[in-house]
Amino acid sequence: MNRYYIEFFKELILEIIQKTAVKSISLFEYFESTSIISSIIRFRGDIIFEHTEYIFIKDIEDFYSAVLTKEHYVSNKGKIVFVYIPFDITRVEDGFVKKYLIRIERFDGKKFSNRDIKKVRRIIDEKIKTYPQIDFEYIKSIYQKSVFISASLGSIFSKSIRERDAFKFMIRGLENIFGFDRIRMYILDESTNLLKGVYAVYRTGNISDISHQVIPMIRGSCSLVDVLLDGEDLVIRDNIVYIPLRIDFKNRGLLSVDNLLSRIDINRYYIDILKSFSSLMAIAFENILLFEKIQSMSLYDELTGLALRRYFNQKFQEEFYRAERFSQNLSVIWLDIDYFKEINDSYGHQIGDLVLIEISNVIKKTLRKIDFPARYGGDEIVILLPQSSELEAMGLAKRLVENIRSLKIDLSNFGIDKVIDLSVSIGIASYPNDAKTMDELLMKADEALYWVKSNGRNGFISYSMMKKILENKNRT
Amino acid sequence: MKLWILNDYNQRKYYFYRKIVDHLKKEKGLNIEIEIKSKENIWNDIFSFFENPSLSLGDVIEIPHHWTTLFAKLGLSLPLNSFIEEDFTFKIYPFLKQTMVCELTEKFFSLPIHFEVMVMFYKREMLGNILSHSEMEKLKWNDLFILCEKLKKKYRSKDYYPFDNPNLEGYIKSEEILACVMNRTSGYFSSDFTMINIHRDEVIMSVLDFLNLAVDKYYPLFEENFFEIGFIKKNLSSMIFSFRRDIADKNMRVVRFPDIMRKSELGKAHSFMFFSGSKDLGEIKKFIEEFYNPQNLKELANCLGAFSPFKNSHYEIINEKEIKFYEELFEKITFIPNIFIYPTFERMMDEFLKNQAINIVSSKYIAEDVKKRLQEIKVICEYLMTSY
Repeated sequence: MNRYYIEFFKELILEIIQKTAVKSISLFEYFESTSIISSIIRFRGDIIFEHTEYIFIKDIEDFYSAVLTKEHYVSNKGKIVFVYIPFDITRVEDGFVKKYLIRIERFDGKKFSNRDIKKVRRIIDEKIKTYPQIDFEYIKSIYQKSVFISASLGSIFSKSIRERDAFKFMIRGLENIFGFDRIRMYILDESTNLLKGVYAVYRTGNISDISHQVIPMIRGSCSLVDVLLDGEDLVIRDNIVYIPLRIDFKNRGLLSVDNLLSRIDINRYYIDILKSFSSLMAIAFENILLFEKIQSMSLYDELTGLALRRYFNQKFQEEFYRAERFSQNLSVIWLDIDYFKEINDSYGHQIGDLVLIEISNVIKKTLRKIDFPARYGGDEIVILLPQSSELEAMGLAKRLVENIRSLKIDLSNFGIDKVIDLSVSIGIASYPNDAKTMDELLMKADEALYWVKSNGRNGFISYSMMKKILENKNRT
Repeated sequence: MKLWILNDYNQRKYYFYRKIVDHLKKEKGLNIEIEIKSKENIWNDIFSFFENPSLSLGDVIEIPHHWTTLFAKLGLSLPLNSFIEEDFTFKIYPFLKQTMVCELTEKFFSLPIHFEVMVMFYKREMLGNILSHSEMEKLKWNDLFILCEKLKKKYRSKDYYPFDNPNLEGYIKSEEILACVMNRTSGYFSSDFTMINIHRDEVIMSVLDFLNLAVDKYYPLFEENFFEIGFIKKNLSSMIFSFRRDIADKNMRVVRFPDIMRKSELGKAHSFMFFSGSKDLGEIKKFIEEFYNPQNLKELANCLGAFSPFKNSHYEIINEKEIKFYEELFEKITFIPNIFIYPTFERMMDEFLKNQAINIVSSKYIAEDVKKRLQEIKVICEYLMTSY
């Protein structure tokens, strides 16, 4: 029972105590469907307290008669005298009638006079008239909260697109507003037909990454998927509310909110708000995804997933500055795919693209997290290796050469009965040993690459090593 | 400062707190307002706070000890290490420390007010020649049904039940059944609390057994028998399971909760948690200093028939004959688990048990549904355990 109603009933009881000779009262609520009466509040010995007692009344004459009576019912059991006074309260929002009993009590064998009983009845009747005010206050508080929620949601959805991590911003905003036990966010990846987790946020404010949750959109695989496939606007199951996010009847994702931990029923007004905002949420979702896509398109090469030249230059500048400032090593690898032009000319650009993709994948898998590969030109790839010495860069280059050498491209899927072997040539230059500026570093790496290309390809060399070799050659 | 107290069948508790509050106001200038609330409303109000942070919660809130970890992890309870004396934990029974902490940490988030241990009381003269005291001491769980049947035959009144129901709520609660589960296995959870066991036969059988006490009309459900009247006090019951001793009078004797083969005894505590958002931290500290003394807690324990948390206080609370009995129980005491998920689990179990009790009194009870519903609760709990 919520606080508003508890306070209302406490006031009723205190009023009876103050205005009559009654010294002991119990208040009950009657649930007709189960024939259970539940005590709510008691007043005894100058103390008012919430009380929890459930009684099945079918076999208890007093209670049974009391709920059936319209006026009052008197029970005398030796020294114990009870008078039961029933009353109804109609809920404003839906007209539902709730049944209550007040029991005034004596334990000294003396009876209550009719005057006392009528006085109590009058106080109850007068108090009930103010009950709609309580309902209104409660509904008003919900309405005010709803207005606040609506304004906040609008603000969250419009701001989220500009936020660094838009989805995190959105889900945190939702939790702050509603205070659910947990909210989970899922996106539908149309290209793979997979429902992917994004974030979950908890009452504690903690946000966890749930991107490991990847669910095929097959009926029966998960209740989240079934909800989306069923096409309902909103589904409620056992303290969980599922809100599909759709635009033009197409699923974009899903929000799930639950109070599984607290087991408290989700306020139906909140459910209504979530339902009415689901389209707006879907649009915000879509906008975030589009924005991220555009961002990545301008920074990354669509074919290989490697950074584009513009982005590389930006990153190079940052890392070079850092290396200068903190006296750190910085190496650059310049990688060229051997005979790439011949592959394109012999087998077509489709095969050429496949070669680029496969080599890029190997590069991405071989590198450390802080390394930064970019597609600099057609078949040229430049890799930034922050905090790497010449020796470390050489080690990485060796692994790249070996891993790519072990790649076999089977052309049978293209109707060509051939398997292509691949190889790359790599030139390396390192700051501060080989160069003092960015341009110089790139140039030296390029020179080293050229040397490899002129000396059999399928290998790697650093600028310093190349210089030594050349010096030795000149001497001899 | 607001003090929220859990409601109780024993009204002397309220007078005790009123006396303490009056004393603290007069002597120490502490202004404390008491509210006596149901467990359900305290739970609802605490969670409503997340939805509406402008709601005022109690500064000091009485909770079952096993809510400690949950509210600590939700950031609602004040860490108390700096609020209590360094040697506080040396002054209390060592087994109470687990009730104060957030899972396995050494940080305290609640302070015990009193603790209790599950036993069985019976009326000596009502049992007559059916069983002697030493036979009662060795009782096995299955013997209870035979005993109940004999008692029902002896006392043929339609109002008579061999057992009285100690729960004001009127149904059989999960904590009572836990004592029975402990006859067969570690409890509702595995001993390391990584798995939930309620789908296992040992637990299902315990739940069914206990419900059968009510189905066979050996155990009353939803009777107004406790507050004013009381079956056992009117000789309309002969036995009662109880955590507390205030239920018993001088005509009753105490034995372990059956079964003799069980290795541990079930205990629980009531504790104070202190709201982390309270603006009255100075007053909280003062309250703790003034309230937590052996005299106050002994008085409270006495009026409730419980035990004070202070070590060896039981010598002053119980009579000499029972000291050895209770000391043996203390040696093997196991508390209701103070883990994150337990309060939620308990709510689900109690809701399920209440519905089963309604089915029993309405003659709609189907034993086969019990296993199905326990499985559903298991699934939700496992899900919560992995999610949180």
